[in-house]
Amino acid sequence: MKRRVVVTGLGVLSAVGDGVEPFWENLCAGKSGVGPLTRFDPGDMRSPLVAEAVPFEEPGDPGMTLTDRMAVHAAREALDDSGWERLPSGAGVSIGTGVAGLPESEAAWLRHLEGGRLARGIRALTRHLPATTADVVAKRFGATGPVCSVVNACSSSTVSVGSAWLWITSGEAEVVLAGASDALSRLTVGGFNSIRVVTRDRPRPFDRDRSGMVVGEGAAFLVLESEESALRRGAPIHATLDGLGMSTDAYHVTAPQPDGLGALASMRAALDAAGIGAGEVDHINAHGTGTVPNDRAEAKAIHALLGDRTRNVPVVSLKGALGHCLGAAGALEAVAAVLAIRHQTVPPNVGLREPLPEAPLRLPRMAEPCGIRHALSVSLAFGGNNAAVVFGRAS
Amino acid sequence: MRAVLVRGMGAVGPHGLGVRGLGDRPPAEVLRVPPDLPLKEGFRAAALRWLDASSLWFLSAAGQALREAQPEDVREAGTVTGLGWGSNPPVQTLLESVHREGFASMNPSLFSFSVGNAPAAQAGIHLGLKGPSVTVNGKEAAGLAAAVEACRLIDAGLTASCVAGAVDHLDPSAERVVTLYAAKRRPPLGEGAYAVFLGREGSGGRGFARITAWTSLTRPTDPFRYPEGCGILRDASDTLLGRAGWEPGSVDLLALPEDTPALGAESGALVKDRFPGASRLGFQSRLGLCGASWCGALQMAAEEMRRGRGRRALLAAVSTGGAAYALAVEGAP
Repeated sequence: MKRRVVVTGLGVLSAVGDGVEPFWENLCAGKSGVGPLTRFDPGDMRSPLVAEAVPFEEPGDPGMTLTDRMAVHAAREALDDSGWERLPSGAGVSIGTGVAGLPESEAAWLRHLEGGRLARGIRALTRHLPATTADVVAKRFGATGPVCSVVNACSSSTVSVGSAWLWITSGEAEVVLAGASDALSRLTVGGFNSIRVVTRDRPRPFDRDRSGMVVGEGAAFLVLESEESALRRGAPIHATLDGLGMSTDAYHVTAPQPDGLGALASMRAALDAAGIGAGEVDHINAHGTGTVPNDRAEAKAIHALLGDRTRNVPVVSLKGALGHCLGAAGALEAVAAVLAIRHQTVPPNVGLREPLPEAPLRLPRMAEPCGIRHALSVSLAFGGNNAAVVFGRAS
Repeated sequence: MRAVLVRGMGAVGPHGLGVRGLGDRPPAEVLRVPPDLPLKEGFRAAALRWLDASSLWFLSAAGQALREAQPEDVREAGTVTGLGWGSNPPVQTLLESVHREGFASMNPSLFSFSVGNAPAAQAGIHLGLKGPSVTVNGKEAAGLAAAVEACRLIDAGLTASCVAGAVDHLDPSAERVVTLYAAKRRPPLGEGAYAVFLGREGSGGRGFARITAWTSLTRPTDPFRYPEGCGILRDASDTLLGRAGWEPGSVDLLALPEDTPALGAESGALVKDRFPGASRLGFQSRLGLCGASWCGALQMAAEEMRRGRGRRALLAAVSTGGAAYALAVEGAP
């Protein structure tokens, strides 16, 4: 019998708020954090639109990057929420990221290209190793169990949250701080512009006239622990984490498999791992980037998964509000899925005007109350690296 | 824990291609992958046009492992990839182009190779692997970090088999950065890709080595410092022996880190204290110091067992930042 995993703490820093409460209020109010890029000069970019994290206070140690500071900030809120000051003995840290300290490395490299001595910025060049953020968080909060840094591009943090589920169900750890952090970088904002998937309008996931995504940034963490541990110490239980599923499209390095079968395989695998059927899923937090190919393929996958219930199960993409936070997207969406279960309410699809015609999805345009037994949170990445996790209502 | 079989192996290293001759190389300060290897053999060359060294090496190693394992249905298999210092050249080329001509000059084909999971994505696309795919940044322990993660996925039933391996490309800037924090007295730096095909015992197919237990733990330190003097190797090996149900005296092969003189001394003390009769693989001086070479250590242990030169192996790696990974491997029955 596998051990049950529960969520006992949440922490968020995003483009719509610093902290879980403003994050949820603003998501439900339909606010968007999308705006012009200010972190660096957008130069001749096709579209300068991004979703920058709101200002936050986090005094960092020397050498900490923006991604590290965002991570520590959100992780601390999650631990406070869970009632821990530091992680207990044997606890793990599982972090997903895309760029880690790349913004700082980029700045050092560009200074070098402008004639500066590389030696002066060479320490900054080391900071783009993704594992540095996990190291910083593990040290700050005293992890002594497994530590993992997942770099699965846009599904990184759905996998990092799912990995924590594996560690706890198998008995390798009792408590895991799982989540993600990703800051805006020249490489990602410029790179997504170069493949022409960034909108000049605003992100409108699942809209008939959607024209692309915007890159976002943020951090989100969940404290996950065995149900026995949570009950023993009387911790608040926000939801259960019931399963992880993954699949690979094996189709194209940047484009999704058009029929959505790869995405569908990860959703079904997650439900299998959770031991539930699609009939027990009452909410899907979709990847929904707002690009034409992603949303079409994902809508087909969701329709194939839900069948007759497609018109009844609310499907939400948060990327109209938060932008696409790449390595951190899955963790931000996982936190939102847990909050949806806790409040029995789904937030709206910000930016949506006219739903796409490919599948009859139920796409709320306003926050609405909803009885949620289980929520599925889905991430689809470059290379067709798909992942999904299932959260459930705490009994 | 369900045992996991090593069913196939592949390598692109300083010795060339394949696991035959693994570790045979001329002495050098830096052990590099020879530039003229037939890496694209068996693939449509045009489809690999944009692949950077990391993706191409990993694809070749994974393909070799699959060919040896001959799984019944490759589509069900997953991929777990470990990265040491990642793939810098595409990032630098893109930044240089931004600096020279602006963002509009970024090469969109190159962009996808700047992403961490590019080697895993290419393995999925060109080898038809449709199972779970996970890429982890395990730094100096990347090869063992990937193997541990793969065992977890198989044990949990998320996949019955997968390619697990790691890749490191020592491009000039990586070399400069690594040299900055690596110890002055250490094994030569290395590069390459090493992959194994792993399958759950009982899921079909024969194996030539068996992973019976795995573990990972942390003694946090600064991101670019090794966890020296904190007993991490002893803790990892004790935890692993407990999980495997082995007595220390039953271990006859060891792979332990020599990344720094202090770690080398800690490894030596562990051998003297716990495993006095065991032989050390000495893989870091033969494959070179890099995260990927820990998967090469697993291959060397499996090869020794295949030749009847060992029965039980313990592998324990540590990385800067303080993570440790360990595997217990024994000869297949």
